[in-house]
Amino acid sequence: MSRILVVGVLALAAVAQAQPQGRGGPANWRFVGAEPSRSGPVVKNAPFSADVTTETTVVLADGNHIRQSASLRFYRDSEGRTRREQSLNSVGGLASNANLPPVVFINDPVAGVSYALSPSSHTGTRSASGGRAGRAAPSANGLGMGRRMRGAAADGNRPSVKTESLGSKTIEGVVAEGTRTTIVTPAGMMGNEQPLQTVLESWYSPELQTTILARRSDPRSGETVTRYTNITRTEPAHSLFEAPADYKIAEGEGRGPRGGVK
Amino acid sequence: MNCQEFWNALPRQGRNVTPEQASHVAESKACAAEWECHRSLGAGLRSLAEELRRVEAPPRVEAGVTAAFRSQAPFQVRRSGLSWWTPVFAWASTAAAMTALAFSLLRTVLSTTVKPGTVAAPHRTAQPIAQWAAVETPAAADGDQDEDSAGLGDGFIRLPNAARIEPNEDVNVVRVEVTGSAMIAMGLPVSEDRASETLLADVALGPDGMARAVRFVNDSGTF
Repeated sequence: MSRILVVGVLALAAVAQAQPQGRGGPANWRFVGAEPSRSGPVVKNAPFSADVTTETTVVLADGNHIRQSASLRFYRDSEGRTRREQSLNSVGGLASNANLPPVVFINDPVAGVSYALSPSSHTGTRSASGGRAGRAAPSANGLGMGRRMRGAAADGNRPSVKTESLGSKTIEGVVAEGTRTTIVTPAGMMGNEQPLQTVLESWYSPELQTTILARRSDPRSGETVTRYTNITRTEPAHSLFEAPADYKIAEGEGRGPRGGVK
Repeated sequence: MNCQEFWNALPRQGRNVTPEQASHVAESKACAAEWECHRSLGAGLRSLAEELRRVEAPPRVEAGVTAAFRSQAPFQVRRSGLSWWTPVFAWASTAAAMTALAFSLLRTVLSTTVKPGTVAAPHRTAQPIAQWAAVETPAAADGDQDEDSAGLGDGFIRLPNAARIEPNEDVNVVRVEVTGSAMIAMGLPVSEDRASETLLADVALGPDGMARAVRFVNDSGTF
């Protein structure tokens, strides 16, 4: 009897093994860990908070569309501390149904520490902060526009770069200065039969020292738009930049998800 | 060759028989019938093993099998009353259990599972997250339009259609387990035979929260 039971269990095991694994669902993704890894320039005396949304749309040759998006809540205080509350539902636009738990990244250049917190498990990792003092560059907009803002003439081997001012306008209650940069990659430079035109448009707020609206249009990668909305200029609560007392915090090494807790 | 010599020699001969053994099988109907049974059993087990080699045991199956073995141990070996199918199922059970355990061990080695929803330290980190000092490729530093690199170095692969990470941008990294098929769907260089595997990867997030680059952790970024 016992042998029959064992055989039955094994038969069920064999049947279960033969079941196909899910390919297109949340089971494809599993959150393992997180750690703040690199901090940009520290911006002081420009506190604010805002929702940051980035949407990318790519139109394929057959007319198909790929749409990706990511969103987070951003906070910065007068001392340059930052906090990003990021949903990982789409893993930064990689998978719309990944449904990973949210993560909070805190950078405290005053204390010299950074945190990655998991509100769902009340755990976190602490690392040495690598923030640098200085003014945030207008190009810190998430669209990779920084080094391409300068002008350059096309010579057949290099793209032409044209930068023009779009003036000023108020966006979400904040005055921003617009800049459009048009980059034309000449035909043949990268195997392209026709010239490629990339247009980068950014609206930079001198008050916030942040680009609050940016649009990038590229025939290869589609259009990407990053918006700061619901901008609040009040000083965020200091507690937002600390690890909650009831969180289990482990030490990281500041370079990635090493150290920490399970 | 008599019957006893025939059966004594078989374990050393494997599935093939010598001309002398074949002659004995031709002469002995009892041995011929028994030998045919053994051949069928062997063929069935080989077929089963081949089939099970391509499947993977879910953790709950392994746990169930282990619990069943523990609850039944020690086994009572009884020689009397055995049916002809008993050895068949015994061998099949052993093959299934061994296959399940092998896959389970393989998964343990290749992909350490951590409780979801925790900020955790992968305890089999084969390499650190990017060396952040090496954030800029020479081409990028030159102001070139080249966007082939992620701007992170150290094995990070820029995602298709993603912007490179600028030196003055905040970067955060999330480590995930993800199936190879999902990575292939994203256009990353994962070989087809790893489509069903669970891979460990670092996803670099830009200041806008968008994923910019991915690095595979367990194979030094190479596939």
